[in-house]
Amino acid sequence: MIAKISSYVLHGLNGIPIEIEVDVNNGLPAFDIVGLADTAVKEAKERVRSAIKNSGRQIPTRKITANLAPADVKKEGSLLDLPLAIGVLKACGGLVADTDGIIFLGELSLDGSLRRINGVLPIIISAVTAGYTKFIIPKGNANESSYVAGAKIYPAESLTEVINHLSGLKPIEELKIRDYVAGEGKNLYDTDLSLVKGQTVAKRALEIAVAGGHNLLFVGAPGTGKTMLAKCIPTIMPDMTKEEALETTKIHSVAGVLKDGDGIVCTRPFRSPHHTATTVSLTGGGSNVRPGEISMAHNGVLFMDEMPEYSRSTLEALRQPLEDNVITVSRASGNVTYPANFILCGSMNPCPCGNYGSEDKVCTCTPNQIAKYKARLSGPLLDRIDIQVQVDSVKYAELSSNEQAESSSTVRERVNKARKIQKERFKDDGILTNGSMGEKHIKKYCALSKECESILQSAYESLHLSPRARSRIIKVARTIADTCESVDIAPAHILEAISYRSL
Amino acid sequence: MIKYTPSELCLIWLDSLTGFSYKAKQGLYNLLDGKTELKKFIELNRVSLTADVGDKNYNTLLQSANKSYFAGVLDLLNERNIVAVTICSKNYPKELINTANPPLVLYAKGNLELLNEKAFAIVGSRKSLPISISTAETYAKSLSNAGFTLVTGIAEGVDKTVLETALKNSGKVISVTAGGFDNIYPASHIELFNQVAKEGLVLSEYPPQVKAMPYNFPVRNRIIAGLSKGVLIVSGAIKSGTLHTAEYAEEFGRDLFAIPYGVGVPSGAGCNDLIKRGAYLTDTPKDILDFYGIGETEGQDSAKKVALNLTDDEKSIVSALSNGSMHIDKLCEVTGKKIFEIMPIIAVLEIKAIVVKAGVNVYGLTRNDLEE
Repeated sequence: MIAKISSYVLHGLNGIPIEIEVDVNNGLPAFDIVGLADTAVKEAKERVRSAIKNSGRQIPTRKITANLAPADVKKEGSLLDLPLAIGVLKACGGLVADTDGIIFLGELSLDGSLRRINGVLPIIISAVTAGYTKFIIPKGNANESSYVAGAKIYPAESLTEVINHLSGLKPIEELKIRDYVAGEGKNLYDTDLSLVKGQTVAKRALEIAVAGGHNLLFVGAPGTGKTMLAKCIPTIMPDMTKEEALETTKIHSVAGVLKDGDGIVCTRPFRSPHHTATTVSLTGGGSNVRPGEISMAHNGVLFMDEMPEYSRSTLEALRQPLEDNVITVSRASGNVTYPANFILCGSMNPCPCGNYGSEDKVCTCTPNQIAKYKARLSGPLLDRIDIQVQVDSVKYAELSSNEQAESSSTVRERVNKARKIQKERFKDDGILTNGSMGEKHIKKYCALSKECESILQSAYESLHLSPRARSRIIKVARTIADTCESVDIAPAHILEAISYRSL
Repeated sequence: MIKYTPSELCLIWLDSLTGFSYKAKQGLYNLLDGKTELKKFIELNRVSLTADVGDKNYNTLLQSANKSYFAGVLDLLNERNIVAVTICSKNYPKELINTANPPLVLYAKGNLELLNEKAFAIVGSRKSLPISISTAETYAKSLSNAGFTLVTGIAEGVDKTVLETALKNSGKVISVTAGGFDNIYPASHIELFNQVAKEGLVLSEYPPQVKAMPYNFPVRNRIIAGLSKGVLIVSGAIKSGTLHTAEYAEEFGRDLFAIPYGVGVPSGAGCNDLIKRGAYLTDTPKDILDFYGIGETEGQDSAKKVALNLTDDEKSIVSALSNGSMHIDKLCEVTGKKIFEIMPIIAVLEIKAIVVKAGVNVYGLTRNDLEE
């Protein structure tokens, strides 16, 4: 008798339905898996054999053939262990049960228990969209799966539990679907803007950057708190919506960075790849294509400490995702598109020694060295970073002062207001924030009064601004106007925007 | 094409030879000047010359004392429109000739009339604070307008600012380079160099092909000080090349001016040190103009405070900064304004060139003649 079991494999952030057919024939005892399976799938037979034996069942000493259909889709990963085991049991008559319409996912351990796998959430979402409703998954994946409405999920701990469930001996309790509560994980951030002393300019810049979705760059000597400021960005970003949270969780699930207890990712991700990171680790890729750091920072922050230390090609690879908010990874095995909508926050020293421009410290670099250091960030990349602020060391008196600075939640309220205005404004344009405005949008939404024009004109001349700095200033001015809930861009907004340029 | 006198040619020839010290060249010039049969003379005096300059240098002399070598040297200069002004030339700067070790030959490109104008040097460090750069600009503008020919180098920072300001105001300006004209350092200033050569004058004591070596810079500074009546040091740390110029100025008896700095500002410590040692303290261009007994040509009576039609907000910031530069956080505290209120005002004052960055997030005034 041929047994047919349904399962799914991952392709990018989507699931592809797989049908597993198992047949038991006469012949020398063997277990063959056909249908474009990778090594992890091929090795499944050993795990399946032991797991079945250690669950107290017999595996027939006959020739077992398993076919994974469709045969032209490459199957990766260990998530097909469970469906294979169920298929074998059904095919040899060890299990009599109706498995139609149930999606089985899970890796088996030799003792028959089920292990956690990566990418369960995107698979369930895809499958629900495709009309499947019942899922049997490892218990370790229960938390992340519990937010998909319309799915009946049965988390199992072992193969025995699954067999008992299917045969009706001891049904597994259905997983309770949870509602997503925005801001559930608010207290998970271990930092707050009120803990940052001084740095009024940088904090203000942070608020504007988040309000308008602008990328920003901190320029300052080592140890001035650039990293701490950057870590505060998620705390003042608007709460994740359910869609955002699911999308981010999907990516993290595929990448395998979700931890056991993690349910859905409801805190804005903060990714800080080290400057030795390779281009592929940042953009995604590899032989088994996986999302990179920029996708893991989706809906959150990508913090690049010591930005000029990254290799040139790595930095330049950021340009396209910064523009399009997605990254398309092309490999021989096909194209995969991952979302990558993040706020880029960079930090750098003003010069190799870090003291250039300081009033009371001596810079030991030559002008040539300083110019070279700055030139490591290319013009086109800097064009995409609207706000560039200098961060300076805080005096000891400020560090020890007890004066309470504004907390993240207060700032977040203002950010939310500004974001709401932008959402309304761009509802027909397919963008969400001022930071994503192109020249077309600037023309449409950033009409400048004569006075503003003349300020820009005089700033252009007296402060030696570059032409590309102009649209950056206007975009930031638009956001500043939004934070003040002002319909038009006022001269003060332009002037403040002018002050956020240091390169 | 310039017609050089035999003495001038002799100097140009000597200066083109490598391996001779300044003293040796001077001695050879006194010996060889006016000798018509140069090669013969050198051959005849082999023994005494070898004793003076050594075997190797004697051979150099002998091999280069011929027509084709002379022509080569002159072609090199003429191709590049470079004029050699020698110590026996009529237009050799009078101020320079009375200093110790004046260059035997000055290679010049541009307006040669500037050589004997009333000159004033403005120098400072390459990595000056923005406020020092702004100071250099103010002084360069005033002194240039008052008719001084400004003298400086061609480095980043103060030098560049002085050159650019003078060019912008169509003022007279001389840049003295530390290498030959084929080797401008920094190379990124080649554009600026060409502009100065066109509208002002560039000078070097080295033939075009000589590279600007680190040890050439202090030597070059003696020309900057030597050319000028007075020298203004805009910025400089205790141990900096800028202070070499100051030392030469003292040695040559030039009027030495320095901008004062606050306590604990490393890039100004050298200036303060000069003031301690007797340099004139100056915090407005008027000090220098008064010193030389000239009023500013713009006819401004600088003693009077200038009213600049500032708004109340702007005035409050200007008055807060009048006691010295201040961090923006402190400025918020003093004026009682929020950061987003204060930033636009500072930006306006920056555009009006009244306020300038004096450090990271530190702002200071560029002038001290504002009405309260």
